[in-house]
Amino acid sequence: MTQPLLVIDDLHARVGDREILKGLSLTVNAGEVHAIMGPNGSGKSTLSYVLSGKEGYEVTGGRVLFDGQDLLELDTEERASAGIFLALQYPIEIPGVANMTFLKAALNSQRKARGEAELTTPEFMKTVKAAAEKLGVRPEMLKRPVNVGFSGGEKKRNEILQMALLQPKLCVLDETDSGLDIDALKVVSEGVNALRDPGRGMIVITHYQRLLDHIVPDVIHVLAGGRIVKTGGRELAGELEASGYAAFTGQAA
Amino acid sequence: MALARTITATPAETALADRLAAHGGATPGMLPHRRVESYHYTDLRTRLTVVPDWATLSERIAGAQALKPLVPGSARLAPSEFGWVLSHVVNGVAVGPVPEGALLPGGLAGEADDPLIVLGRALATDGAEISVAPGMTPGSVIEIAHAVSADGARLSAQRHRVTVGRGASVVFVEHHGGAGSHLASTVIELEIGEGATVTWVKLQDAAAGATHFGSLVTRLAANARLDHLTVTTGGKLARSQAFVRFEGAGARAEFDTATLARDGAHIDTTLVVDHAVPEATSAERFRSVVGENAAAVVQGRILVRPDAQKTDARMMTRALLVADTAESFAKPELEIFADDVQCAHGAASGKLDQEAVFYLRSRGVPRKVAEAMMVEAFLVEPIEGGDVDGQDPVRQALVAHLRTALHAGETA
Repeated sequence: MTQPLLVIDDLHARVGDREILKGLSLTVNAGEVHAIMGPNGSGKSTLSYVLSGKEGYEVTGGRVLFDGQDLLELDTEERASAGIFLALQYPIEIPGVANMTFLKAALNSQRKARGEAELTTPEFMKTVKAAAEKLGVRPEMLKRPVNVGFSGGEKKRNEILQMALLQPKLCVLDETDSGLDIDALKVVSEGVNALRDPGRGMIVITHYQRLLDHIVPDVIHVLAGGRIVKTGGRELAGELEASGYAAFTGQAA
Repeated sequence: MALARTITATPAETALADRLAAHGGATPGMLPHRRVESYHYTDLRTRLTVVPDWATLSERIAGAQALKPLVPGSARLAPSEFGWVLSHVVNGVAVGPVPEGALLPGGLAGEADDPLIVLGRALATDGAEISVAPGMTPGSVIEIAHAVSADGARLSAQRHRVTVGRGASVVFVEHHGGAGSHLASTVIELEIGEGATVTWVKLQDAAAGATHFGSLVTRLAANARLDHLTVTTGGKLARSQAFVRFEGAGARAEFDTATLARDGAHIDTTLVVDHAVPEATSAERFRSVVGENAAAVVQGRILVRPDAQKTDARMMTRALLVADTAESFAKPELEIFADDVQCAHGAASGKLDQEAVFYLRSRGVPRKVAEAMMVEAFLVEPIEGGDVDGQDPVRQALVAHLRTALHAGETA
């Protein structure tokens, strides 16, 4: 039996004085796509930041095993090199750092950390150009500073481009659908679907069913009040769309 | 003068008097201190503690020769036994000894009374007069090399006068370097003729123990253009000042400044722009990265006189503090006496954007590398200007210099 890719066990976390995750447990196997749905304030984004080790998000209990390794022991950059990728809801702008420079630094930092040879500039350019073309990322977007002046759709495409280049083991997509029109949503979803792989797990965090019509999950979880309150198949998304989260927020309180 | 030479004279003031006496100059007055408004943040009476002895000509010749040119293939203007000479003939450029005489006619900007200009002119032992003929576009960048090669500390002081004729177009690099704890002073006067275009680069990369006092006094005729780039990566105590006066309509001056102040350095950039006529444009963008026990001072004064309608003047000062002991002082001043103008200024100082650092780290870039990337981006951006494709050899050379200087700091 193979070990699960990610095991989250009774995770508690707080931001400042506020406890946000209150005993969250979740297991993701390689090859699976898990959707996490839930109302605003249920802890969806907190989960994504805790998984990537952002400062200010303090784990107060529980454990997280990633590939059999204690994830909480690792720094943010070590988690990335280990294979965790967080696609941000609001990708950050970095003035003055060209997107290409950023992508190269990311890819080669990870390769270096894993003891692999760094890519030469021509190798890197070839890889990026091929990946960018598939996602409709224009060459100017690679020259421009990271996310500066990008539209909402361009920012999300840039996230998926990074994901495609870095080939993580676990992709965490935090509200990737927010701010996207239907055409951009299709492009981004196709990019994500192209990365579905028996060796890769995905956690797709979303508020709406819409995204899950394009990225069809294997499992859907409902997160409310800082823990998973219901788990089901893809039919659960439709139920939630019809009845809303009210039943769960009541239950969580 | 006699008053300043009473018992209150500091050791530096006494030494300055001796150095001046050595070449028959007048006794200096008191060094400017914090009660002098324009020196409030750079109190030279306190900060200047040592005035070394004069550098010999051979030390200065060797120093200039050892200075690696910023732009390969530049024509180098350097001291020689026959005065300041160009390394090779450049069509349209004439060089001779700097003439005696008054400063370029001044204005309200106060350069004639500025203590460092008065002192720098008194100290100056030599210098060049450089003329660019009207309508000429010299085929080489002209790099003025200032450096002293000697163990220990030396004093050197120069004065140059530069005239750029009508419609000419030229690039100058004013390069200050050299090892050792030297004190170097320069006063440069630059007259830009009608419709002429000048790119003036000042690279101050003196040794970490050096003191640098540099002043530029410039006048722009109608439709002239000045692009001024200052990169400061050296010196323990430095003041770079520019006094700019528009004398004809349609002239334009832009100043981009990148300062790297580290390890206890005190770097002062002071700029006075005098809009004496209508329809001139000025823009200043100052960026400073400040490290341990270091301070960056930026003073920008824009004066818009009553007749200077349709003036467009903008100034932005930004400092990035990368240590808890770093200090930044920004003093923007706008004095506007005309009513139909567009003027703006802003100042900001802060630490690295932690959201961006997290973003880089979440992609696998180690914290130190991420921070270095962001510091570099902050400092390089104004110097790179719009030239992201690397078409401009001068800007690219400055960017490369900044990257090297930043990298040297990481390994130190």
